[in-house]
Amino acid sequence: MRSAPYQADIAAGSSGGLLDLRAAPAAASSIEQAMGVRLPATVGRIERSGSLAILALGPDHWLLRVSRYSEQEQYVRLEHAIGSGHGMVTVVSHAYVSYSVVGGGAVDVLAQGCPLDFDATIFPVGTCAASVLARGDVLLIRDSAGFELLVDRTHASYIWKWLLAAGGSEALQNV
Amino acid sequence: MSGYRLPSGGSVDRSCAIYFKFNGQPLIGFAGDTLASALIANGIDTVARSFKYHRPRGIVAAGLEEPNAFVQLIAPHDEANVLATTLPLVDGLSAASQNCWPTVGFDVGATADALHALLPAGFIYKTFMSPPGGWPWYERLIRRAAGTGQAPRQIAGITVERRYAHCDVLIIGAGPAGLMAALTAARAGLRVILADCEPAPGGALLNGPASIDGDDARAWIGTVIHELDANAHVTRLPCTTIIGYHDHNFLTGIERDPFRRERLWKIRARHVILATGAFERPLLFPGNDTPGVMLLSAVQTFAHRYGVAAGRRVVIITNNSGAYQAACDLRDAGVHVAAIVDLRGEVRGRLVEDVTTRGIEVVPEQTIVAVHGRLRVTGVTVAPLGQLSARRTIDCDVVAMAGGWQPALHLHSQAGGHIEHDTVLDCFVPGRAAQRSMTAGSLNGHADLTMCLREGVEAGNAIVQGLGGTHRDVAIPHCLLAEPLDLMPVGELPNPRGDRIFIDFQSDVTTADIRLAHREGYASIEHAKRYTTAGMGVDQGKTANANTAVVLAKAARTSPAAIGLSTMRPPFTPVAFGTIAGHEIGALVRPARETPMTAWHIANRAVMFESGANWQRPGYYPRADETVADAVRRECLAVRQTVGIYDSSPLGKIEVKGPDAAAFLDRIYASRISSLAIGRGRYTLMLREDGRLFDDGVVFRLSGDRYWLTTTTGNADAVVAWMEFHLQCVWPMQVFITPVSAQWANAVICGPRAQALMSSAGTNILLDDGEFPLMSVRMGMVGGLQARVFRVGFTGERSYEINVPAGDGLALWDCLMRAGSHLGITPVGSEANHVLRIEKGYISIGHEADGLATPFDLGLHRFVATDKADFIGKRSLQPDVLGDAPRRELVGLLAEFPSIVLPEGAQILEATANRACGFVTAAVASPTCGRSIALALIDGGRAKLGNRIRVTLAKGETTARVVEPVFVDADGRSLCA
Repeated sequence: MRSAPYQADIAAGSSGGLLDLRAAPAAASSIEQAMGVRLPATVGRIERSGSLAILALGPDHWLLRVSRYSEQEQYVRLEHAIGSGHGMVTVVSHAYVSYSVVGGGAVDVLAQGCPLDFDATIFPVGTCAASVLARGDVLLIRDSAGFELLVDRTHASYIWKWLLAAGGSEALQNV
Repeated sequence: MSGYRLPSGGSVDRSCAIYFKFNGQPLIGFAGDTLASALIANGIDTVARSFKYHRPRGIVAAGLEEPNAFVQLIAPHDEANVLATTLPLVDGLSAASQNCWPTVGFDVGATADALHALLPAGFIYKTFMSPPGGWPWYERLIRRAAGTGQAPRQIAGITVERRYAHCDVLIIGAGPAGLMAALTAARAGLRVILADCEPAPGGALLNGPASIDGDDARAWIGTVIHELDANAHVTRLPCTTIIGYHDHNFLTGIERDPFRRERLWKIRARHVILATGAFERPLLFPGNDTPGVMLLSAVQTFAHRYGVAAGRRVVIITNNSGAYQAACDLRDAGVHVAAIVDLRGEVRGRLVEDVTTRGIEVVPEQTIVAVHGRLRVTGVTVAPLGQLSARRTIDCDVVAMAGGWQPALHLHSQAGGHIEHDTVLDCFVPGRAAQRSMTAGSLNGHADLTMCLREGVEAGNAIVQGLGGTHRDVAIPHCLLAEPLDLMPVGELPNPRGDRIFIDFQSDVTTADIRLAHREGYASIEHAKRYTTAGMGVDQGKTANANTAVVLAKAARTSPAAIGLSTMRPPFTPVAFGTIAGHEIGALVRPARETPMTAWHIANRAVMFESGANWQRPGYYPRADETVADAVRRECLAVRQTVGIYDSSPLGKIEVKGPDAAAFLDRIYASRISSLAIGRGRYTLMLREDGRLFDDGVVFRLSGDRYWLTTTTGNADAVVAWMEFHLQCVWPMQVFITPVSAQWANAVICGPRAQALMSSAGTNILLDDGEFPLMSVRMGMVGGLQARVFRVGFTGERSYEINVPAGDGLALWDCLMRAGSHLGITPVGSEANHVLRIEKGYISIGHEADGLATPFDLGLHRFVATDKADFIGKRSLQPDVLGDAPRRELVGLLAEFPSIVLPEGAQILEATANRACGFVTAAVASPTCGRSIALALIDGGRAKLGNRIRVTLAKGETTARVVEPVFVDADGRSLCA
């Protein structure tokens, strides 16, 4: 039986600047025009433009990733673009902690606690999905190397311990 | 000593000896053995004692249908109820019999067997009725007397994992039907998972000689597996037993390696093909539980797969023709078969010739009327069915039962599938499926190999077509047609001496028990099962269920079809709790949540408590020799006299924005929000539709259409869900809500010197009450950090709730501690907070707001804007809805003896009558008041102010005076002091 430890590097990183965006269709168009970007319409899609990445979390819900130092500037631009329209932008850079799980065994680690289908045709590289990992919420972003996990800050320590256990450091001690 | 290792045969590796122990006795087996095959090879007859009567029991089956051979595993680790027939033999393995003391051969508990006439089904319900209250004592006694193993005393040092998986089709069972289904689905490009409980694929093909496409079946299996393993879309899970078929095609399974390292699979399958095969049925004759009475399929499997003879002289008893082929195979494998006792008359043809040429006697139209031997079969008495007195004895040490086949319907039934009765095959077969699943092979009742192979292909093709896949032709391999079974349905066989006939070997249920249950009115199979416990053991009645239905049907003078089988539930085979827990043990038992200051609290000796929603919060910060009471008292007095600081980060925080935000919040909250000026806030209540308090918190207006809400810690997620529900499903309003609990850390400083501390920490916010009044918010710098500062608090003292982005939380805390060192700043835990809020009479959700209390009951009239057009719960607060009966109202209590702290939750009795009229919601020793104080909910409490009531204590009772529920600073001057 193939089991832990798995070929996966588990590391903590920086989540950068994060802006939570909610926008009704009219406000969304205003933002697209003013910012010169497209807000992806399909949940799970990610649009990138320079250092900006826009993750579609829901039909009227996006997460914008910007550099940590430009979060206020981008916040003001978005607020300006929304103007009197119906939209809401909120700085949430501190609400998440970023972990990465990369390597050939990344799915072996995550599939122990995340009920998503990790098949590359269902969850392709370059997309994201909100789910749970064990008993914490997680937003998974898939790239060619593996996964970035944006984890609720309050659960970060729990998720970190869980990842290490799932990856096999605990299992190794037990064998 | 009956079983032995045959000189040749089997797939065991005879060059690789395995050393193991059973009941402390060192034994030797071979690689490839199970514990069961090795025990038989070593001549071990009795492996366990039965659950109730402690009767000696031997191995009956060779697979997971085995009812008796559950053993206590000692090494490689401690585990109870391990099935010897599916436990691969590994070096150093050690196991012991269950349900016996001192030894399996001489068991004191067997006195129960002598008293069996007094212990029929349901005796527990009739016998232990008195004295009243005696049951707990009886229960301990019965628990000790009854069987099953010992729970492990420590956490096993084994790897246990969990794993989610998805597939187009999950095929359960890698026998001929399962393999063909897998091949068909795989060739069409579907994502396939093929799970089988055995280490080697092939199912029943491995248990006897079989040929496919003119070659040994094993060669054909090898070719199929080679193709499947080369296909990247196929995941093969050997050693994996699917134990649960849950809703929406969600299935659970356990993969287990020889060292019992385990993985719990959670599989979401678009389609399922059940090819779980069938179990041979025992026959119901007197003495059928004697060690040495086995299933014929088991005798054959032990010979073919493990090269083990179950005994030196086998007598077969059967009601079908399948036994003849098996008898020939056994003889060819070197096992001596003395006779076939055939319950049918007139058996002729090729089959009879085949066995008689091998020297096996055929005894037609006869039955076994007695089995001789106690710890092992020594012979049987047979007699013609028509003339039971004409007896004769046949020496033997194995009785092999071939009573037909019962399909393994468990997963089909768990999924909600219908079950039908096939009168020709005399067995229950799968009916209409309730989920996206199909059945194939001998699970459908077929004994014919070609039929099984064809059904596998057909099931695979049906799913390929259903999913719009590319259908590829899969040729059905050629094999010899099997002889028809010609099965004669039989129930309980003649029993001239009135001996016991066992139906469920594990639960010790006899045919007489089933008849008794029927006589006593348990006519439904579901009732009879529960009354007699037939089919309720850890083996889930795999060999018992069909016979139970047949015997109950006869007692009820109806057909087995009318009786049916009881509904089957997970798990199919026993599961250890540790397997379900996986690695979520120790620190991972709960998903603990931390604030940015948690490390500081722990480093500063805080005693951490779980305080709702899995948050870890400091309870109190004891200094050197302080008791809890000392620490709480010191912390309370610091808040009242100098300045305290507490970590309020777990508070739920939500931002709300939109053109309709004010109107939305007016409906969500009982208080009026729309009248708030920018920068101002209000304490508010959130009610349910029934007018009961759901949550409380504060709402601040940050800008024109943007608001900041706080919720109680425990309700943070529930409030967001509640608001989203109303936005998405009830009112189409233009409002967005964003939870920001994790974004912000906050520290609350409170006490007469709080304002001095703000100045000392350094801030550009103007602090005068005129500039920054109570219930307002200011943005600015505090200690060099960008902050949102709210003038709110929960202690009744001047307070500043300072919010900074979570990453700055610890810096803020450090800064405040430094700046406050000369002011006597004191970290305050949740215990002191509890005292401070009770002193002020502030309500707490979950204490005073107990789910039944309205805001009026709690004296919170001024926070309910009854003049608003509408809000959730408004209608329920109308007098005609609340009614005239006195409400249970919030009051304060002062115990007669100031040193007595009333127990929280204590029942309150009226002064003169023994009538309960309420309960204590919270009580503490108040350092400020110098005595104990309490809050309580009392029927018509406001009208009882000044009265005395009685409070029950753990022993006796005490009296207390009903007072206003505010004990400190009733006019609220301290808030602005």
